[in-house]
Amino acid sequence: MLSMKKPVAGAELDGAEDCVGRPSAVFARGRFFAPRKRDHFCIGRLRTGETDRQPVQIFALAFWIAAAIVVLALPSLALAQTPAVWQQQWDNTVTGAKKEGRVVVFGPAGEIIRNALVEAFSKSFPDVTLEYVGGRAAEGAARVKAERDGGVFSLDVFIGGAVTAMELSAFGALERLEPALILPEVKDPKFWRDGRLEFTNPTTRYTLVFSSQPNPPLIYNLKQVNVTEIDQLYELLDPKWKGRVVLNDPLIAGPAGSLFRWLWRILGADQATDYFRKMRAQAGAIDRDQRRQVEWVVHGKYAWLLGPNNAMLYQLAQRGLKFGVLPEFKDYGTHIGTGSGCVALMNRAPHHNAALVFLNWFLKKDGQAVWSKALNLQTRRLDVPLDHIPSYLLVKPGAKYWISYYEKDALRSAREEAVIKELFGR
Amino acid sequence: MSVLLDSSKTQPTWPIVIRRRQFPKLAWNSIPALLLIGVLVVLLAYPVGLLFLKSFVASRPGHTSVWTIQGWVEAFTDAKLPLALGNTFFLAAVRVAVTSGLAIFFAWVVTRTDTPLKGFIEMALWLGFFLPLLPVTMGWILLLDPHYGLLNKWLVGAFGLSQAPFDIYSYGGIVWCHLAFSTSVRFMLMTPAFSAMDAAMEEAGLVCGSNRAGVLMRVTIPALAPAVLASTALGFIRSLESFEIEMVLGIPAGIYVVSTKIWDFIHWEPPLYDRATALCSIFLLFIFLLVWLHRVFLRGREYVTVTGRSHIAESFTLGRWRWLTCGLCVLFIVVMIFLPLATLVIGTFMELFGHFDLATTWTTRHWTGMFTDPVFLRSVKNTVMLGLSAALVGTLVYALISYLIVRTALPGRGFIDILTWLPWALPGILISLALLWTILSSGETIKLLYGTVWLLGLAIIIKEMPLGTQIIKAAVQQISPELEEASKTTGADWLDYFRRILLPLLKPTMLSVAIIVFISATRDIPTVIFLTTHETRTLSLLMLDYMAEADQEKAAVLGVFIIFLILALLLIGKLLGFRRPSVS
Repeated sequence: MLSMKKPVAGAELDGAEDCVGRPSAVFARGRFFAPRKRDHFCIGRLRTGETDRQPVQIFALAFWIAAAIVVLALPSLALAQTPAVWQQQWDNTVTGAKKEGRVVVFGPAGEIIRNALVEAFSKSFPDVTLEYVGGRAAEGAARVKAERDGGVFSLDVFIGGAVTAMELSAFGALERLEPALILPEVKDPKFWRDGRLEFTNPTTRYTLVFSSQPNPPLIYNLKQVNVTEIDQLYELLDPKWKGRVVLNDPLIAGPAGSLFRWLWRILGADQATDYFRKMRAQAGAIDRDQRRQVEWVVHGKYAWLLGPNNAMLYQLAQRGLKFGVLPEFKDYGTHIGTGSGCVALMNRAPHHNAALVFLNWFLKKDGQAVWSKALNLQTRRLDVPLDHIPSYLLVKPGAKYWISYYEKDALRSAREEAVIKELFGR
Repeated sequence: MSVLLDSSKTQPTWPIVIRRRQFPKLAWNSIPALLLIGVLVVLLAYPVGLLFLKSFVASRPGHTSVWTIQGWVEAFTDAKLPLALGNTFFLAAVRVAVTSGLAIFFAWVVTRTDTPLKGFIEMALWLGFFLPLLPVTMGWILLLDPHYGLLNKWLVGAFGLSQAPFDIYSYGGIVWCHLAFSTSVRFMLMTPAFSAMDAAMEEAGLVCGSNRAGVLMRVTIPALAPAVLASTALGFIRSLESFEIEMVLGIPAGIYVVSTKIWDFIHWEPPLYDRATALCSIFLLFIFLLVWLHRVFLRGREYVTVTGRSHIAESFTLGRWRWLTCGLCVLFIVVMIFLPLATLVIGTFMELFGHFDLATTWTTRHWTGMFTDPVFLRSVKNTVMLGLSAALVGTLVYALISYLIVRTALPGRGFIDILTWLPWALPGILISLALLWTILSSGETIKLLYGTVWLLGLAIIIKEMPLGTQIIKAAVQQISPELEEASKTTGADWLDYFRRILLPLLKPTMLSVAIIVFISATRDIPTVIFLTTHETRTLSLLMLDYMAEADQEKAAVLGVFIIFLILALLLIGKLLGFRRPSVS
């Protein structure tokens, strides 16, 4: 058994969401990517507790043997086509891309990532212009939907978060990704963490997760806090912190939203509701300015911040701010997210060949290294160096993680949303 | 003395200019005006209608879209809405009251008195309008944060206080941070009306025994009621919508307003545009109420202050009081404009704004980084194109609409008057979305606009239409129709009158409006967010890129750069001979 905490009897487990085919997002010890026994065979069944898992052990064993055979056989199957075949396909695609002349990619806003991608791609493919449109993913999705409703198809590739990719998929804007992967070093699972290409929905396989990392649950002021005072989840409710805490607003999209989702899942509905209520009472401020809340902690205005933004932490630390980071809770671990680490291919892409060229370039070592260096995030490719990434963003053996990016876990349940709104709503 | 003139004595007689309260006689040359009405309906009513229609459609990822009133029900059954509404109206009322007084005082000082340094005061107040809101607010936080604010710390140390005397995260803090910008913009809008007023009216007041304060309150301000009212109404609606400062300062203090609730819904993932639109209906209702009140107040009166007679532009002599007025103006400018401006400029040279204890505190990398950004030059080019086109075309369109509303009796002009307010019922991002839907659901020819700077220009023109139209409308109301009659008598056609008489008289007002539209084009992110592409990226979107990477310092550099850009354009305009024309 990999989970650390038994589900509380009667707790809301969102069973239907849990059991859709993929190793679930309930946290796992050791290898965060390892499929959990208990989730594998519960399709169509409501999980009720530990005892339910006993009858399926034999099937689990059989599954693992079958899976191992498939995994071992996959490389030979995948690479069965001769080099000449993929090379020919690749050459044709590149020729087509040169004729198209440009590729339009939507991705996260930011000067660093924009310039890094455009510059590196233009060096590799000087005849294809990368038009990088940066922005909030949710706005990108709204725009794509409006365009498609109006018969306009401008976007080739989408890079963003899992929820937005799910939206795009829901209105039929995406194309299956695997057929678009041409280069062996991209499609071969051995180059990817856990020996597989990770998808937000393993059934539809539209959205590939190329980057994921643990989210540190909190940061603290080095002068006011000893890390041992806050490294367990319930220590945060100690009365001594009352009014000395700032919460990143969980109401809107972002790391705090994901953190509260994680707490809801691991604690169960009742316990989580109680925890959220007490945490709300602890808070001296609930803020949305993700830079300012870090600065407040550095200035000592608040002792610690719950749910900081990874990218923000790195940027500010690079520029000289000093604060402590709690990588995970000793008792509950933390959650793994993608941030903007999902990629999808738009169907009816106006520059289809160029889109394929970009995708393959982006997902091979070169492209992933550019991404990882620009945003200081961990890619799922195994051959990309990690030395520039802060240790708290690296997956640690033995740590407990909950994976937040699967589609089945992406949206809040009605009860969860009601509680969050009641406590944190304006 | 009354300055209200009998309207029956001054009626225009142009073919499309029909006496009020008569059945409209549509001449052939009314067709362009009717066409303009049609275009406005398509550009204003249709997108807003579409937006409200779609607010009744709910869709969540993985679910089929359905028609429902759920969004509206959820938006209006929120238990915290009444408090947010109360905060919204309270903050707006206080802001408008304070800035009205200040703006009227400054406009009066600059245009109607012999106060020293008038040119400097006017220029500095314009500068206040150019200051970017968020970086300036950051500056105030640095000074007035109760925990680490520099001024608070100094006061606590110097006077041995037990706690910080100022708290920027409060109602007062929100109003304070709005003061410079709001006062400046209202000053800009009122000044042309003040300067166009014939001093003979005030002289008459003095002759009749009133003192200078009495003349100001009983002659000057009532005579300028259209401009003062329009600017007050605009200021009030703008205050209701304002959310940037409220978000930065209000949320930590638990002060929520309707606009921050709308922002919440828009930034939900996935966004809840239906609920955001539902809440916008509050603004819409309020706008209708305000338009109605505005009309009731001005009905049956004329506010002509610019006539065909010679114009007396003499200033009041204030005697030794002029040093007091000068001192008050300079005090406001130093505290509210120069201090934040200096903080802003200093901030652009700090590694992290407000952090004096870093290993590297000072740097020029934000400046060099911005200028070496490969998309910077293209963004500047796009922004200048966007700003100039929106300012020029927009101001002309606003002038035409204003003329149509004030000087004609065409059917539907009242409706147009209301329509012009619509864009301020919605936050920029919803206007952008509505326009995107409108353009993409149009014919192939119109779709060609998508992805061009011209579409961004159109969005900005629409967004600023309430301000542009209402302010120019107020100025048109000040111009006597007898000038139009005189031009016709001398053989000029309508175009000659519009080009050679009306436009020159409106020039100061139009210049103010054009600058406001230009600034809006350079800074506005939400209104263009759905409409820009890689090729049409503007400086505002570059600013968004910097803020996404927590680089507010570089965003502030861009803010300072935009100030210089505008000052340079004004200087070029001046060198080319563009001056504020004499109304006489």
